[in-house]
Amino acid sequence: MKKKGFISRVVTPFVTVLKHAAYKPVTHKYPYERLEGFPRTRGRIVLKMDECIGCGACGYICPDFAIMMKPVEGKDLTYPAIDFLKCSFCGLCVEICPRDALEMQSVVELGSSNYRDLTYYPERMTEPEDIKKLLPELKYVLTPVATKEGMKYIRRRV
Amino acid sequence: MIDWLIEFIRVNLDPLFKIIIFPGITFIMLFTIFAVWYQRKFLARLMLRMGPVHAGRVMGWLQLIADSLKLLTKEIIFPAYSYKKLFLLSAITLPVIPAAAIALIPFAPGYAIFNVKGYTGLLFLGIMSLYPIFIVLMGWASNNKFTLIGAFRTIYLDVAGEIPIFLSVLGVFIWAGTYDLQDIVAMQSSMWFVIPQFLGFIVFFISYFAMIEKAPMDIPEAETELVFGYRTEYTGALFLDTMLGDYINILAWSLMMVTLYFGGYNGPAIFPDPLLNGAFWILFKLIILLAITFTVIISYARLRIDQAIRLGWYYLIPLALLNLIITVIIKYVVLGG
Repeated sequence: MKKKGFISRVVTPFVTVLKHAAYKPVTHKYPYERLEGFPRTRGRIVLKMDECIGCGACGYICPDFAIMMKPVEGKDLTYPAIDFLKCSFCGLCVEICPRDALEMQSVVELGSSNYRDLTYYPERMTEPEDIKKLLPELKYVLTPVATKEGMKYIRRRV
Repeated sequence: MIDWLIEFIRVNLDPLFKIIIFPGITFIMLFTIFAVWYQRKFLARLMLRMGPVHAGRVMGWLQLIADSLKLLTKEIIFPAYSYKKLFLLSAITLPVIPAAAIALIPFAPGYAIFNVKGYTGLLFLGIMSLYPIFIVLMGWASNNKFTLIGAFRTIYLDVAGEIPIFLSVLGVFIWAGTYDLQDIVAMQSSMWFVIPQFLGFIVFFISYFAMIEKAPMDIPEAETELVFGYRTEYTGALFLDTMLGDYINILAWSLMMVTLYFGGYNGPAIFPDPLLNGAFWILFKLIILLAITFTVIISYARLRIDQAIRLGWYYLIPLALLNLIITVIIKYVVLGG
């Protein structure tokens, strides 16, 4: 292996690091700023109850046994209820649904202090999550942008 | 009783102001808090992070106060087989040593806490050479493998760093023809000593990292190798005390570097008051110097202990001696004394 010279061992690291002082930080102040999810983020699953025919295909394909078909008051059919403790967000249920009744939101903030809250029954599944309620301190929602520089960086890395 | 106190304060107003406010205890404590905050923010910016943001809303300025309050409210644990008196006293004494050395640094013409003419430069080096002894005492009194290894590594690093730094300071003394720090600063009003003493400055700057024990020579508390070096066993307020000693050490050596090589308080007159002007310029230079220091800290990988000693003995000491020879030749042969 060729031994590196003085400049590439001593001067280059210093200049490279010092240049960063003028750059913008890549991190965000999370509870105040939040990066909007990318278009196909696999987040919380929402049910359209009018579309669902209660076939149970989602429960059948679920690899984590997270989906159970539950009856709803005033309806004849059974609808999926998801336990997000078990769910691995693989998206197979969304793919298999014959009527496209399930879809994924980009909200990933699903934490709770009580594990029973993480089982979403069909009534709750129909309501999309409101980010303003989850993060009351949120001030700015940032849109993810793939810049030219960033793409170059990724290509170089890969 | 109270009359005596008022009379005492009235008579000794000037030294009391120097000791208590500037550049004494208040300044040192505030600057230490600022330096830690500045290090965290600046290092974060260099790593494209943000650093502390939440506490205090504006750039996380309350974070350090919150951290110190947390440490102060914690229990102080004495290890079962430690030498308890030594364990306590060495940690308490540690920040006093560099703070005592700061008393010799002039902040304005004729304005230092220990305001005498004479061998103040030598006295500074003498006081600062006591610092590692207390680190060794701390490591030994904890009676623990990790602390003792950390303390011994401090001795190794000291061998590598202290001799070249003293030799490079000697170059400045020869060039100035005096040991007095106030005279040395006063001589730099026309030209900073970094220009005639450039080789000495390089040696000083590299050895400086060995003396402040930061990366690339943070060998005594190598975070990935030892637990936390000589302060593994310290908790709560005593840990805060050792950290305080660490940052006052940085402050003392940085002030020494500014005083010896960058003209100390000299600078264009912005404020009419000489004290305000001197303090402004010395702090301005100090902040830029700290920024360079922190950049170096995260730019380079840590040297191994043998690499550090090799650097010190094979390169820095010969360079410092060469600097001495060049200084003597230029001063007494070329310029004719």
